[in-house]
Amino acid sequence: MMETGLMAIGAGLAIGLAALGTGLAQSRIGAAGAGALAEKPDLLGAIILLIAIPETVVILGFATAAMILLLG
Amino acid sequence: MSREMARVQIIGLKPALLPVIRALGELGCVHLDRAADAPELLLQPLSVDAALIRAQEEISRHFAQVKGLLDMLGIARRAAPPAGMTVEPLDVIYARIAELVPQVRVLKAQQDALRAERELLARFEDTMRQLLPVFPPMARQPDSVSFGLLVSRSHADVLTLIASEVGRITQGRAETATAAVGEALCAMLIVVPRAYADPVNALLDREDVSRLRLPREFSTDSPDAAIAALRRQLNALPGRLAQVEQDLAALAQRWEDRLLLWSDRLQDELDAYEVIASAGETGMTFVLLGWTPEDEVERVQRALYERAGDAVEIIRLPVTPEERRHAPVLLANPAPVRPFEALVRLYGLPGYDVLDPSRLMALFMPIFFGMMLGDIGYGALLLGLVFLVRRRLKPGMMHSLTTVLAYGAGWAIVFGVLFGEFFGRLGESFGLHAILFDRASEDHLLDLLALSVGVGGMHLVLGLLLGLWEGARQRSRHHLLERGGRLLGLIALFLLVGALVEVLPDGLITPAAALLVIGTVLLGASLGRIGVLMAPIEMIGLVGNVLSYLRIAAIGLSSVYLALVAGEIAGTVGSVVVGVIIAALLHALNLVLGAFSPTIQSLRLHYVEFFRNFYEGGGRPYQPLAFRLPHVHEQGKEAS
Repeated sequence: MMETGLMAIGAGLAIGLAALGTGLAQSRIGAAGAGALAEKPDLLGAIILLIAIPETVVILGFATAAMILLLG
Repeated sequence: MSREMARVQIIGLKPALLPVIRALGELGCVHLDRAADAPELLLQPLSVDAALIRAQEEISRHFAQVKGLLDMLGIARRAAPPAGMTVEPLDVIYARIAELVPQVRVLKAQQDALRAERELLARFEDTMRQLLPVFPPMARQPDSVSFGLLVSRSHADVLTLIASEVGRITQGRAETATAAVGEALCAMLIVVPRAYADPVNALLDREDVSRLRLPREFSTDSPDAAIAALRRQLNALPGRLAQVEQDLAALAQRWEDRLLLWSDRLQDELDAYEVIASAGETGMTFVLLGWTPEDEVERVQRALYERAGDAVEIIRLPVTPEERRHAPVLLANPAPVRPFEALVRLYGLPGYDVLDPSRLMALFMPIFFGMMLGDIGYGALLLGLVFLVRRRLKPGMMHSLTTVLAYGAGWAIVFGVLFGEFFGRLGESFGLHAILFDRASEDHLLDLLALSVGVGGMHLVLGLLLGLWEGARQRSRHHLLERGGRLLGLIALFLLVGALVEVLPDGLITPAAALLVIGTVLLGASLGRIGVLMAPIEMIGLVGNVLSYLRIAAIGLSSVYLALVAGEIAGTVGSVVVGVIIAALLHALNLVLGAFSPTIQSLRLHYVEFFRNFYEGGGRPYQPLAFRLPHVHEQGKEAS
């Protein structure tokens, strides 16, 4: 029972901390991107790309959480 | 894919230059480059004479006046020119503009003056009413003169000083009254016998205090009469203003189509003159250089011959590989793929003669969207909403996005059938069951992850194969090594994982490890000296690229769990009505997220994971000289 609880906490931390990191990165990229867009609207594609890049971190967090729950 | 382009050189006698440019503008299919920039032709830029410059300035000035008239009359631009109208010759247009400009300016000036007067009088009336209760009785006597002062509250002590100075000048025969006006201002009325008016006036001018000056027509009356007159004037103003605005609206209605037509006509004329700057010249001839779609060359030839006869010649130039790389790009995809062109352009227009990924995006993006949303109910609802909205949209980015959403909603219905989902598990009540597997069940989480990674792996392999093909076509050793190395690494990765989880035989571990090493070496070779360090990092990045496709599972799970929560919460509420409302709200939220998030994530998978394996943007857009009024001809001239 204790072990299941710890696994759940571990999975939660894996995805939660990764999401926090992604959010922090995206907030900075998003703010800079919005400024750049105001100057040069044709950068939209590049800015979507830049904002989307840190999302891999939360996806890796999701993968880690899934592994903890499935393989644990 | 982009249309095949021909590089053409148009040579003609100099007098035929403007007719040729106008013919090209009417055709709208020749993209012109600067002729002097072509080193092999050894041309100098066309010298422009003073008459041409004057004509261009004349057009430019009248175009600015038409724009000003459109703004003053509040006429909005339209995407298409007014239909079925003929346009006057330029000199007639100029004459009509000259007639219209003063009429509109007079009315606009009247409108501005009336608006300013309305604002000013309202402010005076307000101030006078504040002062009225404290008016000294002397102010109503005919031999008295009143002065009004306005200062900010923070400088109210200035008024005391002025009152004492006025008292000294008038030997105590002045009367003053002070009142607050609004939150920020303080007003003072000084009343003096007429004999002291000049020295007091001089004092106030010297002290540079803001004066409350009534308009001249009210200033001689007594304060009560002035307020009554102000009110009368204020009551009359809306009627006068309405009359002027009505006159302006009548002018706008009468001239709207014609002004828009003139604006387009003058803009076309300006475009034609600007092309002159891109022409080159020899002794007697002008030279224009450009690109036109291969199948349009004959049409251009015919049109130029009709317009300028033997005075002009069009020559198809040979194209070197370098010129071919820089040819302008005109994408030509079937109608169902066109909405995806806009998304490809967001990343970067494909270069000429390189693979256009629009068709691949049209195939895979809706599938990824459908895998994430994967619900019959949401898919059908989204499809309905998209068809409702797109009817009201004009062609453009938003219209393209609704088409992309419609495809995605269609695939969401297909995956909804495969996963057995209708607003979560609502479908179970009428016998709907998963054909593939139930996404929401924890027993099938691994299946969902494997499906996402499997689809992602295939997507990446396809991208790398296309990249190898592109590399081979371009004879790029770098691209072949880099993409070949990544492909081998990816295959090795799948074999290793398959063998480790005992889906594939153990014996594959050694060949897979060998493939991984070969792939890393190839990748390192493509990167040069830093390859020793960077190749292993790039290989780890490749694992990240594959795992990135797990977002299909992650977004899908969040969607299905929100749908389940909506059903669960609705079931726990006692009242059926409240339960239905809560469920509807949560499903609506899920639908909004379901339309937005899968679009962004699918887009990202294409831009970041897929495109980087084979696609480079940087194409030059095809921008032909195209008149806005190609088929509207000048009055009195024969239509060609």
